[in-house]
Amino acid sequence: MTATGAANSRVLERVERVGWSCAAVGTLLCVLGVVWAPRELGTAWLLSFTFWVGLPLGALAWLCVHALTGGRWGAALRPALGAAAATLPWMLPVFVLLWPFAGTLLHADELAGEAAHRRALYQPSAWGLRSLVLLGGWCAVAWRASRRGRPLGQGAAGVILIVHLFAVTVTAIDWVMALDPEFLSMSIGAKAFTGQMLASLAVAVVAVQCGRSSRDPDDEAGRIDQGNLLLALVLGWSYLAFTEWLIVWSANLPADAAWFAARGDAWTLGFGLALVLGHFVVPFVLLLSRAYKRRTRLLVALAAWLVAMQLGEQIWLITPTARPAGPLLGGWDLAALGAVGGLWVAWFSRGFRARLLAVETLEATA
Amino acid sequence: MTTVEANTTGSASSGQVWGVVAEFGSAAAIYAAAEKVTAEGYTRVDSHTPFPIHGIEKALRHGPSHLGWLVACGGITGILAAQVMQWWMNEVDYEMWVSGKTPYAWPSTIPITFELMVLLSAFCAVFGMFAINRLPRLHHPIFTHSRIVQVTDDKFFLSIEARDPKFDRTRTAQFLESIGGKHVEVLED
Repeated sequence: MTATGAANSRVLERVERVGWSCAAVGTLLCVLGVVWAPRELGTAWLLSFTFWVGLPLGALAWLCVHALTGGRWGAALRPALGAAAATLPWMLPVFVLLWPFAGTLLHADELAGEAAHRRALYQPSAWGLRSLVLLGGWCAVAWRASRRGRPLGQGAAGVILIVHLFAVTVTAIDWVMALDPEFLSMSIGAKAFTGQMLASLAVAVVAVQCGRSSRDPDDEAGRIDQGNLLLALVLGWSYLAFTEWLIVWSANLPADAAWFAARGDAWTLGFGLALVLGHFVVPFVLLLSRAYKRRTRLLVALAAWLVAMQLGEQIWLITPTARPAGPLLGGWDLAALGAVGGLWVAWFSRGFRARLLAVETLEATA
Repeated sequence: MTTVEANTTGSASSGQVWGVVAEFGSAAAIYAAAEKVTAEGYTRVDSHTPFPIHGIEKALRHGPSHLGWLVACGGITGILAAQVMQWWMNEVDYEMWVSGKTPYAWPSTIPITFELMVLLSAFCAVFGMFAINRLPRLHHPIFTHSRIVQVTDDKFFLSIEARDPKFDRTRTAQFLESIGGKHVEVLED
């Protein structure tokens, strides 16, 4: 093993340990939450689940894109993307724990006067079954796509990517839009898709570039490619988020406007404007610069920032609807984010370390 | 100096010296030569190679391209033009109220503003690149070098232009020879 490889391995071992302890403490707090404040914990668990499940789902999409197009950006990121996609099976039990809260989250009773098929769609049993089937399918696909040294074929990757976009749309409707059954947005699926891809790419960039030197000329081209991909996704996300708002603003229909009105109080509005600044303006301006993308530390810092912004968007989407009177982010939310996040980070570090070691052995024997 | 020859092809030549061109045998050789030439203080230096050489622009000390600033100007012009156009049309020239919004309402102007910004930026990128490279042009003095055909095959050429402040017909040619240049020729415009 090389010296840097050994150092990386030690760092990843430490990250994994921190992850497990974080998961243990978070889970303990969540158990308390179930007893103390089951309603709040339901929202917190949904927020945590929708954010963390986006990372493996986005990574799966990237593995398919790379299988279709190839390119040095993906060759470098593959160990991290594979490790991220391989965390998907852990999201199944996390979702199963969310299922019992479906009754309080979905407000199926509000749909009493609606058509029978809409009522059936939002029954907790149908809602949970739909997500379980999709998550099961995703687990199978992720297992195949993240296998070391055996990338997907082009045809398979193309088909998976198309089905994946539809599946993400279905889950975006179920996990986010269903919280307010009156709100209808056509772009919520596409926005979830770009958001997941952005977050997972940013995580992969942090994992792969962290601790690397800016001076390595072989890496430089790859870094600039990765920065450009981040820029493209920042633009894609901003475009979709803006169109959604512009269409609701133009149509001015009560049901849709109410969804934005629920985000109109001073705190939430400020938070939304901060997202416009932090999720679009700042990364857009910085990523235009080649000099910025060339510097490893700056690129890693911005990628980490973008992951935080994706979490911010998830908070903005979920809590004002699921908890109209409560704060944007409460203590139970942090507990749930820590529980699922610790688990995710621990399993990701473990898989990433194993993949890095496999790459090193392959290079050593070659 | 026997190898240094003024390339005077026929009497039609205007006699104005364009620059000195030398031939090198490999990418590594022209890279090293480029470093020596710029270290000597020459600034109007260029390479003519069969394929792009990674990092040669650093050895030639070309610095970053100005095209980005041109594109930025195009983009800002697009934003301003779109905003003024829509404000004047909707607010001044033909005031129209649509579904309770004020005649000029900024959210509805964003798509047009974005489109015009992209359009003018793209125009500046493409036509600016043409202008900076002085394209299209049918002839370039480098084509009068006797062995320039090899540039499409396996030879690498380094040119120092006469408008370089340090340029001196004989001394520049001698310098290029001294750093390993072959077939050093003084070319006329």
